[in-house]
Amino acid sequence: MFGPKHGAELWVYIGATAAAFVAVFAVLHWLPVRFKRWLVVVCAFLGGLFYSLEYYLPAKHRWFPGGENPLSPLVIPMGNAVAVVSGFALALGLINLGLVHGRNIARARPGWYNSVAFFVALISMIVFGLWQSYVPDAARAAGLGLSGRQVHRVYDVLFNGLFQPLGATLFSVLAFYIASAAFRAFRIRTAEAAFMMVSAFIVMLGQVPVGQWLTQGLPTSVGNPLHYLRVENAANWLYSTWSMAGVRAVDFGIAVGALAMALRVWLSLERGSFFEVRESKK
Amino acid sequence: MTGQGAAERSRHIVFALVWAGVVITLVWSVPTRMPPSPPAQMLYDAIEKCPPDKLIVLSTSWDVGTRGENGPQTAAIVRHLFKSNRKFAIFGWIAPPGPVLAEQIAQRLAKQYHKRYGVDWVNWGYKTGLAPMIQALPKDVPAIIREDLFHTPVGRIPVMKGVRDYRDIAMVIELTGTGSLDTWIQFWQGVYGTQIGYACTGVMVPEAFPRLDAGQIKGVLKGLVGAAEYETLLGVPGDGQQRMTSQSVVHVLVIALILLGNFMALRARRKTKT
Amino acid sequence: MPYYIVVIGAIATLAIYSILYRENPVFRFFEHVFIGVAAGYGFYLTIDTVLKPNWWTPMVEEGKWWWVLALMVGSLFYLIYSRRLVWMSRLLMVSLMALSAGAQFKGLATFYVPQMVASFKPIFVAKAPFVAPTNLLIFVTLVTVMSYFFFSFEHRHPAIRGSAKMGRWMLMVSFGAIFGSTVMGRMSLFIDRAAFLLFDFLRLSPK
Repeated sequence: MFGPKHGAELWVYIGATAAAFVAVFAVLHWLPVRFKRWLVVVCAFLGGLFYSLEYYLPAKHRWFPGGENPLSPLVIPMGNAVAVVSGFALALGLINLGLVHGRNIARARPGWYNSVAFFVALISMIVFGLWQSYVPDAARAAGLGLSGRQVHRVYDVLFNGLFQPLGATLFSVLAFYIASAAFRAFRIRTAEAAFMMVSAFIVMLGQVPVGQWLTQGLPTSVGNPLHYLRVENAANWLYSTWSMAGVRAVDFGIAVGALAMALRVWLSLERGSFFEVRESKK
Repeated sequence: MTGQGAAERSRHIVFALVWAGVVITLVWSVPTRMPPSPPAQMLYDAIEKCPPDKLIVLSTSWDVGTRGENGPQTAAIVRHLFKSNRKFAIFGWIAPPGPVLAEQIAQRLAKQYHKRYGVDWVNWGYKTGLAPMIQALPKDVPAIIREDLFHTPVGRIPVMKGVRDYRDIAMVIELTGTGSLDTWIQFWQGVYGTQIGYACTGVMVPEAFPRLDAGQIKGVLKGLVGAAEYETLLGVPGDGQQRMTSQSVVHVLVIALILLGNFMALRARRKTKT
Repeated sequence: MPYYIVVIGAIATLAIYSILYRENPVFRFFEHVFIGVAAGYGFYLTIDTVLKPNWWTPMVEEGKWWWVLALMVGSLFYLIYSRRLVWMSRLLMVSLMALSAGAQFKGLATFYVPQMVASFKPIFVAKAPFVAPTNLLIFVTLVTVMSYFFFSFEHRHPAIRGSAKMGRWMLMVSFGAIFGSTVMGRMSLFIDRAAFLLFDFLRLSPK
């Protein structure tokens, strides 16, 4: 009964499973709020327990049925399931974007034509992306009025002509703002700020040829202490010792915070509208 | 209004200086051999020590936004793998375009080294699922990956023959502009002892060193400079070395702007006091 | 790459760079185009590389009917838009968050413990005299910066106050390194775009 099915029987099983799922959740929905809260708490607890137990329980022990950790064989199906379920969230962001830009067009707000451009770009990318993936055969594509080559060309324009350059350029604009901020905003008013800037200058000069040219006269042999005054060696030393220790200390602080947050989520101690199940407003 | 106009003028002058500095030094540039730093040397040595019969995974968790740094890094590492006849798999799990962008680089370099897709490398494509998927991957690679970027079942790809789990993977090299390295350390290096290499953008470099110090990663490529250092190790100049002169100029420019800005602010404060 | 695609890319690049002069409709237009193609690309790729091979193929071609549950569970995400049924989407999201939280506990052992072990470095090293002061510096930096971040109690005792103050100074070196690295990173991105405009679009060659 639980093996793979084929043909019409497959679709019957799929339909029945979907219907059963809907029925279960319909029943759960009509339960009082306190049961729903408990359900969320139990699911969160079991979810958190899975990976941590799988790791902390030994791989083999005589107490386990079959002698092996019973959770280990579930890691792969769980990984696959989470990957697929996460994949189904793909439209969440699109719905939000669609609502925002749809409203812009419907209410003819200033710049509504930009929202039209958004929809054209979105739909084109989805259509031609899926088309070039699943209709590679030129003859099949020709039946719809487009040759296979044309489909690929449109996708090429969208990916290599628009997506790549636009994405790379948007990030690169930050370079100018950093240079502008360096002139207009970075003020060395305290000794600590001066200390920070000296460290920044050493790192910046140590990474580039001009900095290495400045200290090229200093010895290169590792045994000579003066070789640490070569700016590239000073930068590497800074990265691997002083800065490394500071970043590690910050990491430890983050670890404690992340652990506390993970515990709060696992034990459903977290409060706030996202984590609480409330009476639905009608 | 005058203050605003002056501020905008100074902004435009700074932008023009950056443009001029980069454009001039790109056109009149000399590929600059960068002496390899210890972290880049360590990564190179770690790859050289990988058994040739095992797969190396290039986790290309970078997007178009960090192509300026991760692109040359990917090219340098792929070139090394082709030169040393090591088989590798391109894989993405953070940024959807990562595997496609890396595939463009691999296809371009494959022509130079007469390498063939499916025989010398494979592209697993992009998979969602984040940490749970990465956690499941070392136990059964074909079950998680299933098919490559071109929809070919992995069982039919020659280079994937015999690749079952973490024991068939020599090293994972994470190329990224995000904090995705820690997941590999947690679920691969920490559990199975798999070697991890790291090629990151400049922003992530300081965070790499605690991991390097603890032995959790075997080497680091530091942004575009790391790519230039790696090209020196390979003896083949590429984008990294070509762009080092421009990198020099903008670094000196930023330092000069900081000093100039502080000098002008100090002078203005003194004028106000008198 | 065909040259017409390079031309389109160059136009898009220059349109974005027009923001450096001032806010203008051309920049806004291409910004919206980028959001559209990026969102569309993520959507199409998820279908292509995840849902089709990992869900549709096992369910329909291999007959594993139970994979329909992934669709049903995944569709709970969309109940976030319903006030009455929003609790179901929270059930799913909190479960996924709890799965990641469970993985965090594993991460503590596999990620942070080796870092803690690596922090204990020898302060007396006979054969390498330069290593000892470096290790001492690492130790002092680590301890003082951690003491700076202790917010659970007040920094009243002079030892704690002094340690926290020193931690601030030590942290400045890390911040300086982070700033220097950030400048390096961001400038590299612009150099890449400039190289595209000069060598691919204008077809100049380096002299």
